[in-house]
Amino acid sequence: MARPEVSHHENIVRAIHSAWWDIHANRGFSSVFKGQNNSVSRLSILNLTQLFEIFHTELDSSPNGQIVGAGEINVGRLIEIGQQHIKPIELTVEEAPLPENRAHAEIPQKISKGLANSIIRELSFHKS
Amino acid sequence: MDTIIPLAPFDYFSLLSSGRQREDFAHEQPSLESSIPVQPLNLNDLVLSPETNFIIGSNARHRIDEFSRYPFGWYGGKGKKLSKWSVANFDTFVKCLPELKRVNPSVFLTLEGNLALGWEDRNGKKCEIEFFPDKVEYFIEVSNEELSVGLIKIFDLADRFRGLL
Repeated sequence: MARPEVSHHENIVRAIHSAWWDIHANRGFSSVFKGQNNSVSRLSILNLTQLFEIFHTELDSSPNGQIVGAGEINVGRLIEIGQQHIKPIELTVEEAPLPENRAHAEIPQKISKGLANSIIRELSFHKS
Repeated sequence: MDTIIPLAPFDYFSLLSSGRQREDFAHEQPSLESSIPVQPLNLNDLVLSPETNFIIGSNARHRIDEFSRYPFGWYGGKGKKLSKWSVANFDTFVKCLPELKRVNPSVFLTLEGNLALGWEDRNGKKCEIEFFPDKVEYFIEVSNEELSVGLIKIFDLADRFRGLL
């Protein structure tokens, strides 16, 4: 059964690992969004403080790795970026709640390095 | 003080020019499968070449040092350990593109365990290269190129990026 799509009016965040964001140079890498089934979280369900707690619990297993921040973007804007890309793609954000994160959602489409960089450029970065 | 990185490339070229045979290294790598190419060096004890260390700078060296300590399963069970073969290819590429120092490139680690480089070209457009054990994937924003090439093309690729710096 198809999962419900997240409203275009909602904002989502993507956890950003230090492996993909050079804080010193303030430079991100396409791995933040490249690939398929990217996990994101809905700010209409949980706030940033609650989400950072989950991100650190679930994703900070490396001794030196850490979630350095979260990138926020509006769902409607994300869809526009996909449509305006040189190879247009219809992006969707689908609800995918998890026991450990009820705000969890997924972008099922495969995102290229180029498109990932276009999305990264539009993120509002929240430092952890 | 600079960090010493417990990683370094496997240098095929030194091996090929040394004239040493596989048997000469048997005592150094006793557990290797016979199907794996000759490996003359204990990869755990090596360091990035001095040229690469100089070009990438202390921030990148520090990041690679951190990446080398990430366990299998980092990032919620999805991340692989840093590939030494990727480090070797990274080192080969950086050594032949010393001009990279000017743009202060950033190093990254992908979930596949590959090292990657990222910087902006003279127009502020993104350049990215990911070093797989057997290939290189790159992205050049200005020309919207997103391709994968075999290692044999690594020197051509360095020339290509030199023209964009």
